[in-house]
Amino acid sequence: VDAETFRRFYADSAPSLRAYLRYRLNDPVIADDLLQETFLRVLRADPASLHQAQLRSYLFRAATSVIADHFRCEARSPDALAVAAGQRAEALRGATGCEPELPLDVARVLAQLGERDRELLWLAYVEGFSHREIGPIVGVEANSVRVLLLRARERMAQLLSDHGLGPEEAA
Amino acid sequence: MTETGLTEDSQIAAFMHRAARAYGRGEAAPDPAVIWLKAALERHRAREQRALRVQALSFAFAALAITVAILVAYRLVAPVFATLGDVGLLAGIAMIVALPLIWLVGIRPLSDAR
Repeated sequence: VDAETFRRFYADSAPSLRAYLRYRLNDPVIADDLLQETFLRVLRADPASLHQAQLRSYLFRAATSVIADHFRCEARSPDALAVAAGQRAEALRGATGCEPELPLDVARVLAQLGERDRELLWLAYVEGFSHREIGPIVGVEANSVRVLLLRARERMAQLLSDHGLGPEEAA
Repeated sequence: MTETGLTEDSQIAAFMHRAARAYGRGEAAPDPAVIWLKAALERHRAREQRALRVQALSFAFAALAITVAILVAYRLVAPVFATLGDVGLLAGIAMIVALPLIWLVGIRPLSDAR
């Protein structure tokens, strides 16, 4: 891959991946670090051998793996884990968010969703991935994705209703 | 899907897109130059390490070949030098050992450098 091809690929995919990382980590600084690490992993894997359609799904798979590694590293350091967990929880409660622009109602709903539900809903609704594409990203079979996503939708619909977020308010 | 299901679905989609906007989807990402440079540096280091491994392997093979050559040469030449007495034998052995070492340590790196 030459520099120009990489620049184009980055310009196309980095903004959405960055938002996904911020959503998963709730910390823009760590998200930018992991964004770098994800693209480095993709470059190491020789992206020229992948088709354009595969590349986006591969990028999110790499990001999921980078996030998992990040949490594993955090877990090795008990202090860091406590601080990070505290920050995440606090940010999601909407008290003092690491993500300053996150609206309070959005933060409250997301805080009550499980990590897997959050991940699935983002990949399906924001990125528009198919079940077949989501499977390898989250590490489950495509058929399981259908079931998991259905349950995530139900939980999300319940939460939106509990918080009084109708179609107009949700948008 | 029922009408209610469709409404829920569009409601979730609207909420998720709102969250996506809040998390900066659509905003420009940082300059990729640093990533490209890091990748280039990693590639360079990997090439260097490969070259070092090849060099170490060739050095080991050369040392093995020289040892065998010394043993063979000693077997062939030593009887000739032995006729010159103890000093002659020692000089012969020294020559057999020194010539490949001079090649290995001195001449070969020079030719590699060229």
